[in-house]
Amino acid sequence: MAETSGLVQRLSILTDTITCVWIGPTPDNTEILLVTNDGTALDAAFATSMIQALASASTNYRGVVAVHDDSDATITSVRVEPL
Amino acid sequence: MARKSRSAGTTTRTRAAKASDRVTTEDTLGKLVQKLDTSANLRTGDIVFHLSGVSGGEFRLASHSGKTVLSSTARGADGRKPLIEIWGDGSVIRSIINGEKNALKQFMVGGIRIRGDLRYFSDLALELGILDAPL
Repeated sequence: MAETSGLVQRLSILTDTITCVWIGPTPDNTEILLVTNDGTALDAAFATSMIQALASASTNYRGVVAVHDDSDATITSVRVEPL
Repeated sequence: MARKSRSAGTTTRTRAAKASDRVTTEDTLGKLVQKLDTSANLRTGDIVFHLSGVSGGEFRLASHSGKTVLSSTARGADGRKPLIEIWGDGSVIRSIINGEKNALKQFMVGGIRIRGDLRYFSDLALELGILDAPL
């Protein structure tokens, strides 16, 4: 498992199942990660709560840590860093 | 005994396939180097590929003064941070560079990671025809 940390530089909701988030310390040093869901109610609710946490962190300039696979950009969990 | 020799044969074939895939990956990246050298957006810095799978390996495209050099190591000589780092399956990345697969679709499917100056990546990928629209 890999962790990508930093500020949420950009958040784009592309479709109802794919959201793209750019995370990194500066705008020119970021990683593109994905929040996806398989369309089931449970998975969609989990994805929505992660997107809300990321959006909230973005507007409040709070750092986040996104956990994903070493070779995959899909976020499996997210932590919002304390102030 | 027969089983052992069959196993050895498979190993030899796998090694040969891996060697030929590696040559193809280096060939693909070599063509990318030629395109980068004529790119208007090229900046001084490194693009690093961490490729997995049969045609995997670590590759670095180091650009300086409008000239790009391909090397099969992820670590730069002066230890500087790469401008862009890409992780993915060697055959998939190769297909994307060759224009056989859509980069965005492959990224959405999963198995690819990209980190660094993504604005620079977007400009470069657009110019090289890897992306249809800016990120």
